[in-house]
Amino acid sequence: MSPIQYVGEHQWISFSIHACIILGFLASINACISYYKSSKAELTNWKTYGRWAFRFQALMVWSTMGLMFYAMIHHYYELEYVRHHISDDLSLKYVFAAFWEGQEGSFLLWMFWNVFLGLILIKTSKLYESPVMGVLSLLQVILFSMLLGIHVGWGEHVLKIGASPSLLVRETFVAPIFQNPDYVKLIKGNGLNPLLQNYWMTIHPPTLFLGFASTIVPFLFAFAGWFKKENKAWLKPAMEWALFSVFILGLGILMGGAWAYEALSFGGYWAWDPVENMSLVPWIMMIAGLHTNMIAKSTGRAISTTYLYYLLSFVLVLYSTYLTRSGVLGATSVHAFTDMDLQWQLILLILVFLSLGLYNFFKNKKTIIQPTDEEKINSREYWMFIGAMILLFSSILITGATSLPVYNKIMQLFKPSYAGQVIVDQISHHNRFQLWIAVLVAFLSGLAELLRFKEIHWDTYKSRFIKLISISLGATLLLFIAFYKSLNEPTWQHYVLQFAGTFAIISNLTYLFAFLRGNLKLAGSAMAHLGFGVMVLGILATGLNKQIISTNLFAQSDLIEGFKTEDYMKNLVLLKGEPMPIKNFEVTYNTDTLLDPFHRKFDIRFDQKDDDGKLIKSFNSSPTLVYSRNESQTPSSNPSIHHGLTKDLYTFVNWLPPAMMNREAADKIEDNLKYQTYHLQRGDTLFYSAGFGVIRKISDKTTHPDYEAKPGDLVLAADIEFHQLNDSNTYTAHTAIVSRGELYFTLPTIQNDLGLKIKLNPTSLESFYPEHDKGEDVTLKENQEVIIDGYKVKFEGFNKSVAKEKYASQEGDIAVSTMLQITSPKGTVYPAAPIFIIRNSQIQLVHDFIFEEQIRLSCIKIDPASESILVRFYKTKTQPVLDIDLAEKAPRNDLIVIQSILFPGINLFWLGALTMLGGVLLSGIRRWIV
Amino acid sequence: MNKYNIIAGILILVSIAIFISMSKDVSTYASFAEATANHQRVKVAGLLAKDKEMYYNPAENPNYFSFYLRDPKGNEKKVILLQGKPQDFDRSEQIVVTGEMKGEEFIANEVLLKCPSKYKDEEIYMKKQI
Repeated sequence: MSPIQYVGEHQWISFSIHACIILGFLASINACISYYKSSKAELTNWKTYGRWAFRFQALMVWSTMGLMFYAMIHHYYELEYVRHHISDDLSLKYVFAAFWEGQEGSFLLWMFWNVFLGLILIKTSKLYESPVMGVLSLLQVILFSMLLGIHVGWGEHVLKIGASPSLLVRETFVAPIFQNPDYVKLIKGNGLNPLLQNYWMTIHPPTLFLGFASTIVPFLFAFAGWFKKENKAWLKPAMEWALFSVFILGLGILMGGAWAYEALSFGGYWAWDPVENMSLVPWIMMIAGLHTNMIAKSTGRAISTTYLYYLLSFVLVLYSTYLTRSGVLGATSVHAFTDMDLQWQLILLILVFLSLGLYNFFKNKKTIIQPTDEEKINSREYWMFIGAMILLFSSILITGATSLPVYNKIMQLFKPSYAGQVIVDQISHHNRFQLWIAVLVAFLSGLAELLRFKEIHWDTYKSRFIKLISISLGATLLLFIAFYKSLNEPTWQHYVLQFAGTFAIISNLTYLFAFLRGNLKLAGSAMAHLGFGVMVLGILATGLNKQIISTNLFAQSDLIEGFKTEDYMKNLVLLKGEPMPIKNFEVTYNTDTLLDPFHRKFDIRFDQKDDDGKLIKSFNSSPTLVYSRNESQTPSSNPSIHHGLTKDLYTFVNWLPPAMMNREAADKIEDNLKYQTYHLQRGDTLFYSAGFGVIRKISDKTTHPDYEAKPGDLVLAADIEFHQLNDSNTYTAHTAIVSRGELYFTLPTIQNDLGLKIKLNPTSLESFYPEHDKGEDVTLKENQEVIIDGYKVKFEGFNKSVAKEKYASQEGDIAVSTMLQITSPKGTVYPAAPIFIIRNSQIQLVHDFIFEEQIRLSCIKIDPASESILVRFYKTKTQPVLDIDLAEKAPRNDLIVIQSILFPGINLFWLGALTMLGGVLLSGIRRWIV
Repeated sequence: MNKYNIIAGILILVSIAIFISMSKDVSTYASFAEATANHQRVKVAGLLAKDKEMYYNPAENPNYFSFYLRDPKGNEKKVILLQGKPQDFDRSEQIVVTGEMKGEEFIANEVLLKCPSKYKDEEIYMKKQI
């Protein structure tokens, strides 16, 4: 069998991507070796080789990304990566989001930032260039290997090295479609998960990955310093880069929190999810390293600690990569990742850098001279060192708990029957321990600022310190007393944290005024620590005072032992248009609108009332629902947040009628309905099991909420008035059917209080808008009048500029509308304008209907010579019949379930976090510029 | 760095103590039999019994959803989840509920679903032939 010759594939692009990856892989090996050689002997040309090799692999990273973007923008679906992440309807602004949605793309994003950092380091790392760039190139070698996509036979096993983004769909799947040489025309893209189609997905991953990528740099300098057996010179650049890393990684993590809070219905900004934890831990270690680095710079102590902390921060990034990309986390995380099947490569990545870092550390440890005397207990360095140690401790606890799935996996290697352990409640687990970390860090950051670097004259400083610390503690105590009641059901631990947070704020303010006298240039660290204090208070406020207000006040619920009422009263049912009182508010679900095929918006009004029931203010909340492209999938719910200065109100739709959930559920419900068809005229009555309905109105206009007018539409609508037994109310239902060109669609209605679903049968259309060519033909000249069936028909002239909204126009149409005036026997005058079209040298007619008189008018011929037209007049003689389909026991479609949560003090959290990062940035700028 | 060693030693002791105390927070997935025996808050992992009734009627009570779960030992129990019906529930492959046994029913207020990943629909969509 000869191989199939496929048509329409862009094989060149697949080939080029693969070639770029292989060349980049080889070039980074080259860079790594060259830089290694040059680090041994500075005088050779090896450094120049290294530089060029690094620049060449940089070019390969850019080319790979450029080619992939090219293929994505041009929708080359024969490429698996393009097919998986792009679709025809995906807006171009999401092409970046689609690019890094996949693992291959996010690896490339990481490599892109490594290249960016590397090119800066070539220029700036000076004497350290060779070891710095050598190790960075080694990272690029391993990252490139993740994309190689090479399979090596190894006895019975196939060793898979990397997963290439250059694969074609037919190389990934086996399917009968690939028997067709022309298959490219037949496949379409899977597209980006609508949940990820927002701007956060465009900005959060690049920021976070720059943060991840930057964690290697302080380690590179530490490595280079020890490699060159230098004591202290590396501390300065390492610290500058550590500041950068703390800032950018912190920003990336914070953006993730903001995304979770703003756009996803996770119910908060932080959930101690494994993926979140593993991005936090390297950041904490980087902060620990930054502090010991500062100590090392000023006293020469803690140099080896700094080395280890930086190594740990970077290795934890690698470990986090392993956890999130190897599939080991399984069901423990809400974040889902596609498994690239690269476990062993990811483990290798960790081991290579861990052993390299430790080897260099132990080999050169003896050459690093550190002071042997002890730090004084009253110096700032001493307490900073303790603080860093506490941060290390925090990282160990978080990492340890998050690694439980890894532990389970290892145990199962030895004992396959081992039942995996899980943390029953991860949020309370982490909170319980990290609370004490926060207490210690807050106290230390307050205390340490008030001490001075390299304290020598303690005797003279002592009294001032005692004065300052007393002022701080006193002010803290006052503030604490003023505010301690503001927390909802706190434990004593929470009070301690509240006190510590307040102390961090006050003592840093004291420092700002007493020492810096408002000199902002040096204020970076005080600002960062102050921000931390504010953030702690924000976390307390949102964590403890968070209040679920969507509780039905009238619902009777039996207390269930062992569960708090809040635990099972979270959801609130809203009926469309019916106000529902909840705590402090009255909530009304007014409308819902389909914004586009993927988004439905709900309008829910909140009327805030005081205790006497007086209206304080009203606002609208508009949570949305994001539908998946897959018609059988449940849509995801996006919250709407009403932002206030002191608190936010966060609302999302937790449940909605299955008919609105997805196509499949809607079809299933429709299939289960039993319709009966009634043939009725105006004024007729239909009877069903529980009552009757009267046709009140039949018209050619509809007010149905789902109707969007299009040119040329023919509408048939009916108003039916329903009555049911033992009920004096009247229920009016409006339903319609629309004929549009070759298609028709029904606009059914559900009478929720009666459980009825009503729609018009398409056979009604033919009755009201007959399509046959019967009728009476008359020739008319301009301003000529003729009487047919008692109706006066007058031709008033041509209108050559037929507006496009009159009919479904096409490019190249020649259309003329003939202006007629019809006068009924009763004297009512109706205008009519049938249209005569020449489309592709064929004649097309657009009838005009006078709905009230059941008259159809068409212009079937135009004679330019005699300037006359041939008009066909048709009047339906019998009363037209409306065919109505009616089903009983239809499920309600006007009911949703919402959850509303008040987040008090959330702005303290954002303010604190941003102040903290602002402080880091300020410290950084001062050092980067000088 | 004698003082540091002492502090480091203390921290190591504390962390060992914490990791030991962690065993309180940690459990294996329990079976229904174990949950009945120990009357504690546990996690039960199992499969949805698709042939049995799933009940959610928000108009009646939006915080009550019941279904039947089959644990790995083959025991089937009614689970009452004090929440709304989670999204994608019908499609879930594995369900983990947190709560405790009350009589013959397992009352849960937390649920974790393992669904076929949303990011991974290995289907090739075909263009509609018009």
